[in-house]
Amino acid sequence: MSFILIVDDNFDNRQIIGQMLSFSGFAVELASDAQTALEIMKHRRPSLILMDLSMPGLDGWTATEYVKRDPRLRDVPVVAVSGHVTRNDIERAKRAGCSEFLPKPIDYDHLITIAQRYTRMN
Amino acid sequence: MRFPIRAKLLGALAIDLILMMVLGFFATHQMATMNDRAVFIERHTIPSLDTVGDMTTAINRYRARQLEFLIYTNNGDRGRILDHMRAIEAEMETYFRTYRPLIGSETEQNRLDTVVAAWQEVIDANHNRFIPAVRLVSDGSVQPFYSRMNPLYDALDKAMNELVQENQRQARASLDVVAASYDTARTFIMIDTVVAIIISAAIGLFLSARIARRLRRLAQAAGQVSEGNLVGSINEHIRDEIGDLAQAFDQMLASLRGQRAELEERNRALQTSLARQEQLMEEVIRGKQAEAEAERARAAAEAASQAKSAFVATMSHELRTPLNAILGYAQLLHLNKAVSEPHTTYVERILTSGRHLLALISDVLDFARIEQGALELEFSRVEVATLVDELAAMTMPLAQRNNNQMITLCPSDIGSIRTDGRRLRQVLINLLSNAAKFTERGTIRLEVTTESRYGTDGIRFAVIDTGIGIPREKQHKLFQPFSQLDESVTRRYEGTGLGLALSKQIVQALGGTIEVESEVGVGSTFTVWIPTAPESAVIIDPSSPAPHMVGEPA
Repeated sequence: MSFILIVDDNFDNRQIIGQMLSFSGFAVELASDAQTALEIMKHRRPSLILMDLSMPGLDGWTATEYVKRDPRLRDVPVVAVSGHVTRNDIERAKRAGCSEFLPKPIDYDHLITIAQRYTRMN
Repeated sequence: MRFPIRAKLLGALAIDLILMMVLGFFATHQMATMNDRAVFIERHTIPSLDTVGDMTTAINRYRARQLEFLIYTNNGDRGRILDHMRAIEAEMETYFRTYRPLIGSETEQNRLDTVVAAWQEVIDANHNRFIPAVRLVSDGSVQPFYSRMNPLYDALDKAMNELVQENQRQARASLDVVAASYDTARTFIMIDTVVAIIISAAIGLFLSARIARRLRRLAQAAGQVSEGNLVGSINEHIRDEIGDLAQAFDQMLASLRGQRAELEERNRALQTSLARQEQLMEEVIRGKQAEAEAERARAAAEAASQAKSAFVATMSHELRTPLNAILGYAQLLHLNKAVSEPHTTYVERILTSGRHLLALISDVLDFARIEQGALELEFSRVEVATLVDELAAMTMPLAQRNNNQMITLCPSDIGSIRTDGRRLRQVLINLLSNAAKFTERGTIRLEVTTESRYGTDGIRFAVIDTGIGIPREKQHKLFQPFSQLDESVTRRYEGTGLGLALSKQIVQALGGTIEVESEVGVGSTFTVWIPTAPESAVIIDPSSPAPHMVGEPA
């Protein structure tokens, strides 16, 4: 059963993204930090990861690098989700392996378009 | 007349030399005199006396022969003795002949003549009277005859003696001459030597004293010069080496005086200049201090401004987090079909207000970035025609909301420009949105043309509306933050109040310009010109007025 993994330390963001995707029929898993997300992915392979970048502990850039280094998870697309970020942050995210950047506040239509595009690709 | 010291010294030497030469000449002369006398004695007196001695011997022998003639009666003997006598007579003649060239004086001549005469008388008496008488007597009584000869012999002796005496007198005279010459020479040499010494000493002392005096004057003058007194001069008139030196010294002195005068003049000028410089320096220092204070004040102001900008940036970011949540949940509510009227409208109002707030925060954040000089520009190639199509598509719904017609005029071959497409789009959307908001049942046109400005190729975007227009007196405030015409307008048209001010900043950052032309009731034209390539135009002009910040009343 394919699902979208949402990694965000902010409860509201997790809820909003999760509810929006659920409303459109996607299965989702929520992780409040990158470590938890990596734990989940040990057992189950998501079809798409929506990764918040600035998080306490393991940040989104490092977590994305872990995913992209893992042969089993390498092909899972990662979309960076962040509010106020600099161009440098986005560059770092792309270098780490993020396929796309989704700005906050989340726009429902934009989110669904991206989700559909990457899950269909998979 | 020019007499070098060398010439003077040589002159002194020459005088000495002349004196020495005179001395030598005189001494030679005296020597010659003495030599003459010695030669005279040797060649004359000595042979004379020898001859006189020979003659005396001959006379004695002659007398002895007479005696023999008396004694020997034999005719043969007498004949032999007579022969002897004749031989002696011949001998005597020889002596006389010998003597004649040796005669040194008339007196001697006379004396010799007397001797010759006395001898002749002896001979005559011998041959004429003695011999005949002896021959006649033949008895041996010869005494009377022989005795009669005595006076003659006495006369002869006497004559001889006188001759000898004359010779001796002459010799003595010669010796006297030699002695006198010697005395004269000695005296002369002594006098000459003394005179030479005196003259040399006089000349030497005179010259040396004179030279020393002149050199002392020079030394004194040099001493004065070394003490710094340049007033005097030596004024030597004697033309020699020291004269030359003195003249050179005077020239040097004159030159030094000139140089000192010049130096003093320069020194005065320098002092004046120095004083002026010190004054200037003080002014500069005061200026520097003022500058430093101004710099400190500026730095403090800048630090405050930076702190404020940083604070605004942080606050904007912090404000967005809850706003994101609000907008997210409002969207979720909006998706939920269970929400019914009038709640659906409320949710929409939440979304609209939230998005407005988000735009406001975004603009404030951009402003803070510009103030910090941290506005990031991302230059890339932008196809102008494509951009225009996008703009039309995005603003069409907004325009249609007020029943406006949207027209774009853009040559399809207008090409591309190198700029920050996102920021340019932001500016043009802002202008088009404004046009749509402030126009009802009118026309909004976007005209795009190429235009060169300041020798640079560029693209001109003109947003022309037929809206309410802007009063002329308000136009200049248009690009300042929160300058919307009044509170009611702000409320009615829902602008952030930062759009135009931010647009101006962005356009300037892109190296372009933005202007407005407007007439109330006719419409407004906003013109944005952007260079084809950014070149050196990416820096925000720091001299442009700083935008007013949030919270400041328009």
